[in-house]
Amino acid sequence: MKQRLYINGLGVISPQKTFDVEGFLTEPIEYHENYILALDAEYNQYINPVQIRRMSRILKMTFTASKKALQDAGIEKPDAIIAGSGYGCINDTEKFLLNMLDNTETMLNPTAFMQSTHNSVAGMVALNVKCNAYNFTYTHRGFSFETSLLDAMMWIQEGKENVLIGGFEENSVNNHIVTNKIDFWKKEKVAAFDLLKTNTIGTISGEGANFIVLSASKNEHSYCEVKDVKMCYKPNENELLEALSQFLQKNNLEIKDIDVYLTGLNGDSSMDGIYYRSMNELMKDVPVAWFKHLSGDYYTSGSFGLWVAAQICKRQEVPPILMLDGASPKKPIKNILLYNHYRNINHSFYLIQS
Amino acid sequence: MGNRVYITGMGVVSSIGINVEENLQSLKSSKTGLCFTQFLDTIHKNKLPVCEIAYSDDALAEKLGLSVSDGYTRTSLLGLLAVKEALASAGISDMKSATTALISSTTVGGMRNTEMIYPELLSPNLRKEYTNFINSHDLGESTERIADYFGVKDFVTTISTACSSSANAIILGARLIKHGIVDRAICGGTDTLSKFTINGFNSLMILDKEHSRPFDDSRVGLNLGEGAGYIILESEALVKKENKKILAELTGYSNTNDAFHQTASSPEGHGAFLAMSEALAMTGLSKSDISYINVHGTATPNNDVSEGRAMQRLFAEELPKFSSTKPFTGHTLAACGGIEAVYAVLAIQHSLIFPSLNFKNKMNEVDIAPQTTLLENYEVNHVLSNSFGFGGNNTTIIISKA
Repeated sequence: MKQRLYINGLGVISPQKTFDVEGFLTEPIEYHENYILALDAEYNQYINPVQIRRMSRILKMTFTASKKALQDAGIEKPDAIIAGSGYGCINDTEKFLLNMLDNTETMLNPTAFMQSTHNSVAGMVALNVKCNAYNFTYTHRGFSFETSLLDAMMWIQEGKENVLIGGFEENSVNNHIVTNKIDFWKKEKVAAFDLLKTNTIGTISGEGANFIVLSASKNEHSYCEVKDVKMCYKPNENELLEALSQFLQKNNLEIKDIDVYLTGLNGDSSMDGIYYRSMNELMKDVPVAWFKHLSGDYYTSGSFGLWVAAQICKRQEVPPILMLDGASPKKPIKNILLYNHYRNINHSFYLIQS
Repeated sequence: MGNRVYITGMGVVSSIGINVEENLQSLKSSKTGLCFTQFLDTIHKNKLPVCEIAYSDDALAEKLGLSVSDGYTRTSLLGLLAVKEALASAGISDMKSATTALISSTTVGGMRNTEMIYPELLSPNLRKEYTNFINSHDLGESTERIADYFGVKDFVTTISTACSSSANAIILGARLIKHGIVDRAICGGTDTLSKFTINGFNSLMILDKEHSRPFDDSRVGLNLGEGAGYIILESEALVKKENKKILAELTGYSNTNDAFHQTASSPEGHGAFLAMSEALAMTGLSKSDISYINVHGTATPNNDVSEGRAMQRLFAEELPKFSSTKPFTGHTLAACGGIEAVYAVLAIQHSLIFPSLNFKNKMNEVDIAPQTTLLENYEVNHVLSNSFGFGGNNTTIIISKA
């Protein structure tokens, strides 16, 4: 990449105290459910009363998080808006679907249908800041946010100054029931911080609205630099390790240059196996941190991971709750490698630099 | 940057034909796909006409050597058929011969199948034959089915920007090629008719009980359709290296947002004007170089006025021939940009302007009229194709004779 790019603004609504707080995971919340919700912000402080009445919860969450990210970056209008979500506005979709089935296709209110489209979030954000620029929504499982990030990186290369990207997902009771039939989630209740000790199938289902402003210019407030992102679709073990080696080489780095390895381990005994094992082997001398015990897992949880990495870079500290293995990282913390995968299918590497 | 991007293959499945040739013959003979549904169990089945593909899921699966019970949704099947034709027409059989992206799009993914079994999906007693459909609802599902069938591994993603989705898939493909991330890209979209979308659009009161009439003063709404359309984009370098046959060139594109309303377009078509102007500027052409506009033209009162005003503002006295092919195919949502990109290539290849069916009188608000009959032996050098959607998404692509 010729043009460097920086994270200049963050707005994150998650199951942890990540919104409107000074500290960085100083009071972590441990959940004991396999279905955890984001902590609602004071939405009415961010959204006017006329608008808020018709908005579903995910629209309130994403509206507020995107507004915060733009404020944090000190910009009013970005040069592009890109959102990623695996399920989109799933509660609106289910609401319209159930009404339709229950009322045998009569007396239907269009509001839920209008809000059910996956691009309603990016459209709403554009409407809010009157932004006529590029507007995209990626909806590909565990690549939804990663493609958004790659797209933003391409736009910065193409000359745009500020790009707003977001990963969002909302939990839904019905979708949880459906996906539980194929063992996405743990059957038993677990203490989130002990997630990796469970040795059972499934993980905990989380949600969040994580918005980030990427900019071509660095300023005093910049969190970090995003060096690169790489997606691998259904790689075997060797292909994955080969992809990592090329990824590091392309960025002129070796494993010994990585100061923190941030992993997407989620405690699912059927998913944490081979890939993480070989990655851990490779990273055995690098301090390891994790985040899914805080956010839960979801298609766009990588966006929460990126927030974690950005905060580590800026604050030059890894809160104890994030540490998994190894000694505390040596300072200065320069390079963070984030590796995540969704259900062994959508694998991604991110390289973040202080 | 700066590499040229060529179209080397295309495939289409719609209610007017399940391959490119059938679609061309229907377009030339003004044969619409409008009918009443034979496959969808909805209370609207004898009241609201739709453009349905006349093959059952099993019949579609058989063409691909697949079995529906393995979890293939209708959306996946339509996409697979169209991509199969597109790859064959580009002469691509080995995905490893160059880095390849699959960029697909859909608006409701597996909804057609989900809505049929939803109560059972939620109950503890799900029949065994539905097990393979548990994870078929989300939008990435059909894309991954397509990727796995053909062995695409290098880059796989899905876009959903309502009715502009597959035009946006084409834009991403072009940009990935220009950035050198891939050498070629399979770009398009797939969507099927579902009770969810029929009832959704019906609740918005924008479905016509008659055959839709784009740009006509009497228009009241759209007819829904289903289908899939994909084109193969290849880099200039790859085309030269493999001495590939070129169908056309993608010369311009733009994606903008109207930022006016969650579902409605601004009355003056601000976003549409921006998309068309920016795409045109990218080509370096002048307005008079555009031979034909394949308009979004859904026949909703709102879209056609908005789009028409934007066209009038941009082109003024130099408005080229234009038509909406939606009365042929119905509005195929995420698929329409891909399907209409195929039609743009056909217009160039065969020197044709396709008719806008059912037009009689100009709209009160805009003094413009589409082409209403098939125009043959008309030299088509540059086609501008519009796809607009909910969420204010406006996309224009420009396809040129190579």
